[in-house]
Amino acid sequence: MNPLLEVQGLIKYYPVGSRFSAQRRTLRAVDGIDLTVQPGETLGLVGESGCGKSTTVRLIMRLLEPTAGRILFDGQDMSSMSSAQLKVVRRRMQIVFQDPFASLNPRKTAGRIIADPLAIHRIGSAAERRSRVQDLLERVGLDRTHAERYPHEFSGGQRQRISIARALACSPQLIVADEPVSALDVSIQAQVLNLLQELQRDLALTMIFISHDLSVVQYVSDRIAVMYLGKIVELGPSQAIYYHPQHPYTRSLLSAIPLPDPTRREAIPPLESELPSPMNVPSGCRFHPRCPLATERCRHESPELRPVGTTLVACHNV
Amino acid sequence: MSEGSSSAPLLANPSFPSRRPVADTPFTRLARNRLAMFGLVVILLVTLLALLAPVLLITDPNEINTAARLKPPGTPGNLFGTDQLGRDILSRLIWGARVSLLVAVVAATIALTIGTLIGVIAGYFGGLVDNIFMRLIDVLLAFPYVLLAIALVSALGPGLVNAMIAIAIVNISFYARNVRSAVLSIKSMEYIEAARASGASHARIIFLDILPNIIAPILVLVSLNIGWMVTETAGLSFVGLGAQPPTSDWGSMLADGRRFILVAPHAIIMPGIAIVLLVFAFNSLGDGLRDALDPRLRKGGR
Repeated sequence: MNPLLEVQGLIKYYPVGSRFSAQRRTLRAVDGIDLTVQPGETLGLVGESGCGKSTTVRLIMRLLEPTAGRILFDGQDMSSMSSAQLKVVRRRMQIVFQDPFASLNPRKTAGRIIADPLAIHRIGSAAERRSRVQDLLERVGLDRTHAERYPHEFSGGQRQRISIARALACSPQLIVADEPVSALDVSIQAQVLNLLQELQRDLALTMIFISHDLSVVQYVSDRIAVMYLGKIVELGPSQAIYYHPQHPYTRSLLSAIPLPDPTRREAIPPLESELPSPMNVPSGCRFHPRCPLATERCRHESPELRPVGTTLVACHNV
Repeated sequence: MSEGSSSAPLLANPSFPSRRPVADTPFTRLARNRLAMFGLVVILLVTLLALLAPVLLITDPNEINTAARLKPPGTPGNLFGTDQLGRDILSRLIWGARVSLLVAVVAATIALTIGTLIGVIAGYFGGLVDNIFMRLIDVLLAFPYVLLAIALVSALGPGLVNAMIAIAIVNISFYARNVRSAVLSIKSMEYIEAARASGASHARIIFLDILPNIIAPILVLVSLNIGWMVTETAGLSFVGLGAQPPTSDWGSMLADGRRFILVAPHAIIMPGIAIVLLVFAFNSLGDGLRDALDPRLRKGGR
């Protein structure tokens, strides 16, 4: 089966400082990422805040222009597309944002927000759009009368449902969910996660799911990619990553999840130090200053992803 | 966005008398602001008088009566007195309000349209476009604005229409800069990204997502700006570059009355009060609107 989405050598650098300053530096937000997403699967993307997850998905959606690299959607190279071609592709891929309070225009009713993608792509008559909006509202667990209300009249969880309905409006193949539950209460998180899973199953959606919480990602994903400072350090089946993590970074992420079991002790303690600045990326393996297994080699040589068991790991010492 | 959930159990307690919730919308906030309401009433009154000037039973503002020159206020038939040519000051003030309001409203509309266009384009597209537009605006700002207005009218020739154009040009920078900063704060919102991800065109995003969200600050800008424009119109007329005689205009009335300040102070006091009152009315309405539409600003300002 051909992959639905293929990302090759994706790079996004930002110049920092004045154009005329001698101390012009580079912020490496995304530093060489390769990914493939098969139709119908859910790929989870995890990492700490600031590791480049959100930048990666914005590059995939082409909301940002990549510095280098290719993004193939269904075999077509998106980076060389004209704006007209891009518009066609955008019907087939949609995004759900993190902050349900910032992602809905406060001056539009829920119905208008959900119908907007249909209006942009000139799908259906006004009456058809209205009934589609009502179907979508019910599909995401809201009431059809909610179409007349404004975003401020909804709770965070309901807003996220509206956001999901908007993403579904044009029947896309790929949904990118950028931390869709991290702004919500824990009880609401589960509801929204279940909704996403249900939709994915019923509509045969392909999904990229981003979170900083490995247990959430594990719950919805078939495969997981672990990101650290703009690079993927471990990639493999969800179960393998969650139960048998190889990379020391993944292991410390997992040990940071509180478990109600005092007898279980982690070999690798949770990370305490801060993520290094992407403006000053460590030499060699970028994880070495925080890594309990680091050796002299890690300081000089950047590890490549290589197969270990069922997963791909970028580490010299596993 | 705050739900006030912490106080909910307290209010649910039947032993507490429930208090009727006080509506808190921009409209009620404005209605509670006495100064702003005073401003609104003055503006409406002046506008009404100006509109009704042709049908009001007042003397012809240009009727010269040399026998009744510089009569003090309270003279029968001339409530506010007469000027150096014996013209009725009240009538001239009412007809002058037409000039002041017309120039201010038209100039504000022109400046608002061009300034908003520049501000939205500069703020939305950013980068080079932003730099070019903002440096041009900086050039405009580098001139003291009264001087620039005088220079423009001198170049175009004196007259009401040219004064209007000059005042509009001088105020473009005010709108452009303020609109640009409002656009910048909206532009980074996720709903703009969502619209882009849906394939919306730039025009669609600007008109349906950005403009509706900056209307409130634009409204405040306009009401604050019209006050200044009334002053500027009067200023240009005062130096003889605005309305030409015999058109009655508050600025030229001031200029005419200035020569008789010792013998007939009312000839300068009356139009002076009119200008101050109208400008004050616009400014207090503008302040009130700003407080009503953006309560956060009020907390910071006081």
